[in-house]
Amino acid sequence: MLRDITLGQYYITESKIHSLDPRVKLAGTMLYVISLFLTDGLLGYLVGAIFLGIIIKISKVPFKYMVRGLKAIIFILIITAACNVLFYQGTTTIFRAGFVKVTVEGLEVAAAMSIRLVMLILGTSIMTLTTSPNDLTDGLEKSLGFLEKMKVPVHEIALMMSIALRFIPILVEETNKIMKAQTSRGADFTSGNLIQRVKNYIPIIVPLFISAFHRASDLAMAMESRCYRTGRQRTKLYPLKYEKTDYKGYIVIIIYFIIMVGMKITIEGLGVGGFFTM
Amino acid sequence: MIEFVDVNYVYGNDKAVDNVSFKIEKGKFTGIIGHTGSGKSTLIQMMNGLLKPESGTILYDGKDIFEEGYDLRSLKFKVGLVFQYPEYQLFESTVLRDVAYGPINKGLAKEDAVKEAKAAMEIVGINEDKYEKSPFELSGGEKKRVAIAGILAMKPEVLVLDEPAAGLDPETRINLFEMLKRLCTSENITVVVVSHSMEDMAEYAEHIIVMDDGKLIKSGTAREVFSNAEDLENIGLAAPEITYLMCELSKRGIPVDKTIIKTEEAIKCLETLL
Ligand SMILES: Nc1ncnc2c1ncn2[C@@H]1O[C@H](COP(=O)(O)OP(=O)(O)OP(=O)(O)O)[C@@H](O)[C@H]1O
Ligand SMILES: [Mg+2]
Repeated sequence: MLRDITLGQYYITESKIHSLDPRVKLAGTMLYVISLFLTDGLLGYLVGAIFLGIIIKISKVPFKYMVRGLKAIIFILIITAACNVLFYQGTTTIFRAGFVKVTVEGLEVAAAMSIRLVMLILGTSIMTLTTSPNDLTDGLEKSLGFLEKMKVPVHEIALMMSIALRFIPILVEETNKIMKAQTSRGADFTSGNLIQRVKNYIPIIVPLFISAFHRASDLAMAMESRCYRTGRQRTKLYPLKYEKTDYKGYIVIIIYFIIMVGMKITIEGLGVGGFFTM
Repeated sequence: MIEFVDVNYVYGNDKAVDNVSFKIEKGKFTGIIGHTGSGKSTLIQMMNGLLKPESGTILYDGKDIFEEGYDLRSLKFKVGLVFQYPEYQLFESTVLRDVAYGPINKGLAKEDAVKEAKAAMEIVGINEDKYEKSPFELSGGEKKRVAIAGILAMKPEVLVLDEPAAGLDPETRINLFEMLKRLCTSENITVVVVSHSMEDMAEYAEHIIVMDDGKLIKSGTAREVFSNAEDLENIGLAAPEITYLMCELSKRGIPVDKTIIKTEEAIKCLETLL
């Protein structure tokens, strides 16, 4: 219903990627992001793109649905690309007007940068698209479990995170409801100067906070009446456990990473020059 | 007053209102009944232009409200809508200021708005000692009444209420319905009420609209609708208790009118038999 607003935009379907342990996906995403930053050659991007394409295919998330997430950053993408094209201090000038100078190097950097950004977004969204927010926090909790020893309350933080995630769609719906109620009383959100407009939102924000506090205290009460308490003795209803496919997943991602690193070391020269100066 | 012509509304893929047409007469008390999720709330949110139908036309005083150039904002002052849980709309620091919010939006001067607010609270039975309280210190039922006053204070021509009686004690509930009836008869306000209580609807509504799964099943006088218990039962509703009693009596050979839907009428009918 409100899936398009939910953070993480989990796409419900069944696939090999969906059933992977969230820890594998977290590690995989991290390695993928690192590999993108290592790469500065066309070949590297090609390998990265092919790998990404295969993963998307396996995940069964429609490509169209994935691209929807890109719309939000298209603005950033265009601005970065434009800045690179216009202001990059290259040597092979194609065109110049006043202090703006378009160079071959600038175009190359702009292209590389855009490709990298798009791949970055697509790569990370694979994780949020195929992992439910709950699994995600579970995975994070488990992966960061070692921090417990350093007195970081990992479990509590994870709990807070999953509650927050759970509340987002509820609050969105609530906002919607309150907005309708106030519009029915003649509230006007579009006219007036800036201060007036901010003021116009008070009738929305106050009830929203009140109801959020109510919900929070209700939830706390419900948890307490079921004897919830934090502490290391807690066990999980569905504990995370590695299966065979999870090990396979690790192997695949490590092989990919080795290839990317190997390429970086062996064919340095193929890169787009000066990329890292950005 | 309000007319729906072939109206459809869709949430994502769910059809919430399916090809609905009806008319709400000026000055009448109209009830909308239907099981949970049958589209009642969706229906009434279209009456003041909050939701725009997928297709179809909604007319207010004969004018299409979604036509280019129609002043939807001023329609909201003419068709006052009280939501299912109206207590969520309270936000001001005092009850009085909250009730005056609508009239001020309407463009009234502060003193006039306060006057309207006080008059509205008088109608719903909020006493003067509550005026300066924070609306969040009130009980649930009081909040509800304040919220209704907030709409009443805008002096709407049509008053639409979504389950106003939910969560009220019997006395407050009866007071509320008596008040609505009074507004309807003496102030000539058109009243539309969504309710799950067949008894209340039988008692107060003149016209009933029956919804089922987004479709309008029946629209007629309360007597027409409620005297046919079977049709209502088929869609998960029921006739008022008193009608069942009358049917049972007549089945046992006592000559009573089976189409009686109000307690008072039943008492009169039985008294003539004694
Ligand atoms: N904001 C929404 N988003 C998506 N679907 C909705 C939304 N609001 C209602 N629906 C769906 O539309 C249908 C009609 O809902 P509606 O709220 O109009 O029912 P109702 O008759 O008022 O029910 P109730 O008696 O429980 O108040 C339901 O199937 C519901 O699931
Ligand atoms: Mg409803």
